Amino acid sequence: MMVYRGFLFKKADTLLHRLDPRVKFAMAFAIIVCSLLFEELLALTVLTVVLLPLARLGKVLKEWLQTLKGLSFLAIFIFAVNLVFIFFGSGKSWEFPAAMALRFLVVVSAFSLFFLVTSPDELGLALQQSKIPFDVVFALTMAIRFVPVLALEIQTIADAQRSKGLELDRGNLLMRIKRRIPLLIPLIVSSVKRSLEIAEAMESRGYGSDRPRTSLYQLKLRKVDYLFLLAIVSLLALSIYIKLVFPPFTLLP
Amino acid sequence: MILMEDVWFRYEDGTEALRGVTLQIEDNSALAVMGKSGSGKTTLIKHLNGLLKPVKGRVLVDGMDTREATVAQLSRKVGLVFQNPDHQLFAETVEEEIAFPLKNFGFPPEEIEKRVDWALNLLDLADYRHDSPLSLSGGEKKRVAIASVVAWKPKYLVLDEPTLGQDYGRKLELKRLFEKLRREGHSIIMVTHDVEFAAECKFKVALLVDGQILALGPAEEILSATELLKKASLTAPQLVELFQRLEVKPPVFEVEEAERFILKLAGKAQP
Repeated sequence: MMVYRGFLFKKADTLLHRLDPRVKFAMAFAIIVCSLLFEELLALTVLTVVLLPLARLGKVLKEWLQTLKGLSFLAIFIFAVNLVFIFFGSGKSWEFPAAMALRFLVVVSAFSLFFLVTSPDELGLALQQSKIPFDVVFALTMAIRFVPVLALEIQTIADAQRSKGLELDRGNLLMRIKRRIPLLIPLIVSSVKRSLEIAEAMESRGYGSDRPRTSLYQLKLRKVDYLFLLAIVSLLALSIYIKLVFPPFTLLP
Repeated sequence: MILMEDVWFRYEDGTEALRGVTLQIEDNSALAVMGKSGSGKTTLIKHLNGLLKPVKGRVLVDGMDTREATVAQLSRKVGLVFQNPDHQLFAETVEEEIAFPLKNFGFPPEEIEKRVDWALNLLDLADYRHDSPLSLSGGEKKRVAIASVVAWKPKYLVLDEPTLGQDYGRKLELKRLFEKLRREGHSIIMVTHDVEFAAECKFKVALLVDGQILALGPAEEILSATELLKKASLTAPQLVELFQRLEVKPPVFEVEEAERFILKLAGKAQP
């Protein structure tokens, strides 16, 4: 339930926090592209290990590890499914299912790291300066802001339904999914209701009546940003080079 | 009987919500838990059906330790009505909404039908039985939420802010409902800010301040202790204030009684 914490901005003053949000996004994006390039266990392990010191640098190691822990169940599930269909199905190495599970972890935890060290305001600013319409940017940052509210709400709804004798963790998978309907409907209804209320509140305060807004802060790339960009581009180039030049490799002989 | 013995509770973020609460809720009793927001009222009642388990101390529901029972088992005895009905209404009709917990607790179909009818009439909802609960007004939704819990006749009925969105007439009906349920042997525990309603109901009052019970006693006593109420960020009911100014002791708590009293007073004053 607490997995979402790994996607919430944690305020701190570190090198990673001070980095330009666009650079941080490029970093997450590059790591994800690399993870999609390779299906070898070794390469994906390297990518996961690369994230570790970055999380430490941003002083969010604890939260980031929590994301990994929260995702471990899904990762094991992906491993199991791939094992059944690939390993037993085609006789490929067990490395492949493991790599797939790891790839999932890399993709999600790279995003987790990005959100942990990038404030919603910064993200909005970055998007706005990339010429994305303000309405879209506003909707996006607002969605991120409401994640903890929704998480809290799910908890309350679950409490209310459990108090009426609903046992969420009983029965097989299908039953468990069915048992979540009493949670989903109130959640959807109240979310829609809230969004309408917010829209009304915004309109009554004159949202959209002004000329296109300007921002107080202007994003500007600094020396350290360029250094990081250089590292990111090198990582991508290196990955593509390895991918093109070397044949697929395995850990096992 | 529900026993809370030196109950401590801390949320994950470190907030100490309960700091050594000891409370005894007798069978067939009525208790109002009062205090300002953040004083731990809701945390306290979530301990009664095991949604939250104490980090220190223990809660016994008819001798059963809440740490050793499931929420479903405890809820059969302790029915909790949450503050916001929007957090629980999901069925297509009011009828189904009320039947949902009965199905969860495994009542036989004919019994479910009987109890749904009974609960619908009890809360004056019979006209809406085939309507969607989501189409109702705030006050009606609240009554559906109460009906869905009352339907399984829990021995202890616990309500979080039951008077929210109810007008005076509905509040009086709620009071009558509580009296009726108590005659049938139920206990009522409610969390409320509504000093007027707590006075009117004459429940025993527990004042909660910063996760500790500051005072516990009959409504007449607690709700006329102005200094005590101030510590819990509450003000005395207007009737109490009025009768204190009129220097009438003890103060009158019910509106109807007050009306009779004042008429009598006025009658005497006439030449």
